[in-house]
Amino acid sequence: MKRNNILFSLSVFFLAFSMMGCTDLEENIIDETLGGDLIRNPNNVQSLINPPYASLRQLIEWYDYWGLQQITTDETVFPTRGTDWFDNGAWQQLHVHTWNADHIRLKNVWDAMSRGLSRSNTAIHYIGQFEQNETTEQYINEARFLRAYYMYVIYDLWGKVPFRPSDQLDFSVTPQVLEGKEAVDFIIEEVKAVLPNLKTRTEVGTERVTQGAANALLAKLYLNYEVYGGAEMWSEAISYADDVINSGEYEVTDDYWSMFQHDVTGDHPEFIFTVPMSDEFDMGGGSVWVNFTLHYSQTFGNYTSLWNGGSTTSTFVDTWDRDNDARFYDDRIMDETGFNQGFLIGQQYGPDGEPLEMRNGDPLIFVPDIVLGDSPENYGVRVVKFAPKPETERQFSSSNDVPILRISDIYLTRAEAKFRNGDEAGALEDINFIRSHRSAEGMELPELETLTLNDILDERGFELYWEGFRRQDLIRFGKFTGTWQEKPATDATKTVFALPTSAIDVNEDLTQNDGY
Amino acid sequence: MSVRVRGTNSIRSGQEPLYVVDGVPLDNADLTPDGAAPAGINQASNKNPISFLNPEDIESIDILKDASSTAIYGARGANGVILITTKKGVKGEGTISYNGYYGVSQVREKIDVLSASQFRQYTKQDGTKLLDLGASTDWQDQIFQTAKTQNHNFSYGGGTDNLMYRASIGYLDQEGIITTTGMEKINGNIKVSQTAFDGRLNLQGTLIASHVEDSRAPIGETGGFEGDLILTALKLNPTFPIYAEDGSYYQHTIEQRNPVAMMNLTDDVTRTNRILTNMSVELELLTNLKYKLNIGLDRSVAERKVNQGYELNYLTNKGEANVNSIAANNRLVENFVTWNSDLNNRHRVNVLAGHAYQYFKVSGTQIRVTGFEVDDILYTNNLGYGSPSSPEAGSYAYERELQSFFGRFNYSLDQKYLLTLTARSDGSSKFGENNKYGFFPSAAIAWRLSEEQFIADVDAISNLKLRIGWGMTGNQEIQDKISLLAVGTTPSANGYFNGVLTPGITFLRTPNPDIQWETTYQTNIGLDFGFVDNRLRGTLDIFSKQTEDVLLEVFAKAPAVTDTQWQNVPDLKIINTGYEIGLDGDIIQNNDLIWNLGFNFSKVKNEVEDLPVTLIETGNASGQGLSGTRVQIITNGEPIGTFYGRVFEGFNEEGISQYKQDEEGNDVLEPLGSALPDFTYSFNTSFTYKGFDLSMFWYGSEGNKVYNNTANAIFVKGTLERNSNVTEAVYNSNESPANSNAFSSRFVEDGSFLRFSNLTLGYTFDTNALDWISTARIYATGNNLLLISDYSGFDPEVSVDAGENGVPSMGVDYTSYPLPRTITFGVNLQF
Repeated sequence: MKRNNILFSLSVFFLAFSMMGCTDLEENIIDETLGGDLIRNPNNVQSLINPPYASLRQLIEWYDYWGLQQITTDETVFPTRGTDWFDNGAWQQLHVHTWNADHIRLKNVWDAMSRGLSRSNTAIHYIGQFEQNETTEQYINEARFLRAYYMYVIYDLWGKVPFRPSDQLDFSVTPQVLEGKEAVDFIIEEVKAVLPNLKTRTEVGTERVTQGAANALLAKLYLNYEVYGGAEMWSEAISYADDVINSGEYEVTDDYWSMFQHDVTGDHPEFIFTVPMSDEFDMGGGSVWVNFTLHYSQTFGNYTSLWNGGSTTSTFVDTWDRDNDARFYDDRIMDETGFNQGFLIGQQYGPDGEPLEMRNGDPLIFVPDIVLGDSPENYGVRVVKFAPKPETERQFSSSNDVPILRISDIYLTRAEAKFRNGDEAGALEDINFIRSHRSAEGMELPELETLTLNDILDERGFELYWEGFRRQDLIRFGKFTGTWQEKPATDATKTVFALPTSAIDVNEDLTQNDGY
Repeated sequence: MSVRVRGTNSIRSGQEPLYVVDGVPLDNADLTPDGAAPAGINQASNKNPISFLNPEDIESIDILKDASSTAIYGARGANGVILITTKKGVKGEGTISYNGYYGVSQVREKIDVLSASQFRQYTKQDGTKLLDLGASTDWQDQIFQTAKTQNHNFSYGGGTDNLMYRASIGYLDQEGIITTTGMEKINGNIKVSQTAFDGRLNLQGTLIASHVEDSRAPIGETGGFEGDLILTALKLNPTFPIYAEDGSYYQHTIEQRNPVAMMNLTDDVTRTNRILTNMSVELELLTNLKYKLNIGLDRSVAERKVNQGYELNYLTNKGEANVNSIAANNRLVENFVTWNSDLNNRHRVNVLAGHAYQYFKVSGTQIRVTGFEVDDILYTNNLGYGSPSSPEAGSYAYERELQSFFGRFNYSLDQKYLLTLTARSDGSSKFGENNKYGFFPSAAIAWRLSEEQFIADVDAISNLKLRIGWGMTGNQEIQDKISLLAVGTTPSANGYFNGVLTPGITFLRTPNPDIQWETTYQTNIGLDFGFVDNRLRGTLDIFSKQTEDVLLEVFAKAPAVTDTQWQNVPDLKIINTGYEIGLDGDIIQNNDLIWNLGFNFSKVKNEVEDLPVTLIETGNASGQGLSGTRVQIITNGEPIGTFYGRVFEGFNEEGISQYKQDEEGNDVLEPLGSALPDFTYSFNTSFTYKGFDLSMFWYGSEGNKVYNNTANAIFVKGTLERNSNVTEAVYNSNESPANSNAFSSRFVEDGSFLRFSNLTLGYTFDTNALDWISTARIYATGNNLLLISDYSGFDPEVSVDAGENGVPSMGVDYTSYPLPRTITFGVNLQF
């Protein structure tokens, strides 16, 4: 009797256990708000426009976008130094144009810019779902400009750009691929469509998309139209440059280096469109460009790990009027850092003024020689464009706003368009206007009396070196395939990069560029 | 520690077999918290998931490999199943036993880098000498020690007809061969089983508890170019002193660290408490019908505290403290019924049907504080001494559920013809709404040929059994959440305008609601045989495994909201085919002398087919000048683990590397062999003569390649010219100091080896005359006594995690902790 009772209670106990197992297997996420509501909440409109802006920070990443526009040119070279800086041949290949579809930097830039494009689409679509008001309309226009900007960057690098309409949310659908004239015209029409509805610099500053930025981008698109779309559009370039210059919102100042100090903000009068940066936060990108160029021993402030890499070529250094041009050298940061801004040549000193040494104890003297495959520690003239902030605790997040469009670029754009359009006098006027603001202290940078295309390219180099413009300029002047220090002549197919294998593999409509 | 059963079935991580301890399947999640960044002590390779067990408590380890036996573990059986059963009490009077040993370990072989005097002799190309600070330091001697180990185990057990019990406690104190490393482990184990109601009720309970303290040195898997402890000890200039004149550590520069300082100023201890308990109840409901309930709980709490002293010059903000922890829960409830019947003498049927539910919850926290400048205390004991602005904290948590319905049908006819059918339907919360459940059937037949008259008549054949099996098993080792959309913020999407940072909302994940189980199909044919009264016995197995619906993170069609998306890659197949042979022989068997010999051989061929992309790269090389270098690929027609790169053809007259080139003079890239071996083998033998016993175990691997990342990073002429130490081979080579250290076949070495893994000599005393003791044995054991290999690094049997985007690498050696040589002396006593 007793035994049966026990058996009965055991059975109940078992059954209780057998019940507790059953589940519907819903995945219960306990450490992440999946956020479907976030994106549909009109209060979050600022948070929706942030991501496409944030991707602009990828444009100033030295090893990615900046590297593609610079290391492929006469302005920048990253020689291998013994066992340092070979890195699977990545830097040598960029300099001598032997990259292929598996080059890691190509994939990274492709991904980053595609992400910018897609983030713009997301902003356009989801902000468009809200009840519309002045702010939502402004943000949608900004997002459309940013989308056009990323498309311009991708097109400039690869000659093709995949595109989805903003309401195409099924990403398994193969996107349309725009090429040639069709692509540039699409980008131009987009910018023109939003231009009248954008705010001005006076209203929103340079950290947001403005009419000035749209006009400047159009001027540059038309300047490159011959390369991009196969037709000359010089007067359009002049007209949009005029719109920027005549707006009165921008001014070429007498202090060139004031643009490149570590505390400069978007308020600088020369800036049109900037990437706002801060070293107070982890911003997921946007580096300062000094660690990779300075020698191991050039430590200062919190910068204790320097990599002794990138340099400029003697070909480029030789184009300069070193004594008279303020843009070549500036020593205002020397007390803090031991080095100057501009070109670093010859014996180098520490912040205490003591001469520095190489690892083997020899004096550290930068010389213009470069051997691409094996340069000694001191080979290569170094360049410091933006001043680093010595006391920063985030060395890989720039402390200053970085301009990606600025007014002297637009003066030089107009000068070049005028010259190519047969107006040498007008071109000279613009070039000499810039030069008149760029004399070294106590010197006078002479005005040019005649002008050639070479002079214009050189002037663009003087004004804009190491800011990520050179590749596009060399292509437009037909010099990209030419020779310079350590670089042999290369094939015309190299003016567009190889599409990354990872991109071609998944998109059957995206065919590899010729020559790869 | 990584275990692969019958080849590599997947591309992703998650290739570990399923471990089942006393009926409780363990979670393969990494339960060891991360370390700290600056010293390269980041991730520590996932530790052996059963290291919390005391080997003395293990009764048996069974490895299930074939389709039918793994199929009952269904969804998680694709990588094989390792069943561990702990010891239980034995009927009879209670016995106490003591097993203990004392051991010493040493590094088996140092790497022959230059001594200080050789270093001084070298003349650079420009005629000058290397930097000489006057000391003579063998940095390897400074970090390696002769390590002592002691281990003590007591157990008590016994039983009656209805109650059996065993309890044990174990203590292990093991020093590492790197001075500040080691492990201390305390284990307790209780197992009780009770039978009642005339054998109709069976109860069994197990409780396993352990406390483990792991002390680590700053050794990392990858680390920066400056290198972790081992890399630093290998490359540092041997003329540098250990201490400066003022008695502090001599730290030359930030990138030339002092290994003694790294080791002594880093305190990295992980304390793990783990309890695994299970209880099973089996009740005979009716004759031949049994019901069984199995409930289990496995809980582990690990806390890792890392202190890095402010004196270390490479820290970014003075002293640094990290406290990282992981807590994991794993609960199991299984119910099943079995029905057993002898229909008549010829037909026997056994049927099982059941349901299992398993729940996992893992949560982790990380805290990092810098800016410490205090002496004498561990920073982690009072984080308040750190810089008030420095603390960084993070945490995560996830839950997972698995639910399964399973059944098995066994039928035997005349005990000659055997049939097993299993079916299992497994559901996982990880998978998409549309594919929660996967169905995993299997079938196996066996034919006992030796029961047939025509074989039974042959005297020489004592056993012969043919087995054929087919089955499907699954793999669900993917990240959580991938079937769900995620929208949220990330630093790279935040907006910064007018000095104010505001969150940016973006897509963090492209959902795939169709994601489903990766499935492995296996077919195997096996033969068990025994000849001459089973004195020669063995098994032969031939198998073919094919994995489909491979789970992989693939590139999205740009422009898409994320760069990648998880998919079951269409068409892709990973195929493993091979065979295994095991032979055992009792060569001599008489009263005084027994001599056994065993041999195992296994050959697996691995191949990838129909990969929809050209190749997937992995194997991220570490070291200066190697950024962005990937050494391994997964591509069609080649096995997983294939190295890929330039083919080194020696140095030219100037000492510059020459590579194989095509007709146009471009370097060609080609497959350079795989980290997977052509075959593996082992043999063991044992002699017993009167009281003496002697046993040996050797094992080896043939044809596997190893990428010597250490040599690639630091053992080239160029680094010597930069005052960094190198091997004698580099010193004597005609390589030019100007030669770059580009990755090529030069650094892919043959990793074939034969290891003399174990030698044991024991003596068992005759205790018949003593009534207070029943068994007494003493023994001496040597482990890792000899390694026969051409590999130039510490050890070819290595694998650091150099994976890329979740695709693991194989056979990459970068400053791995060398496997020591150990000699132990022990006793086994039973009272």
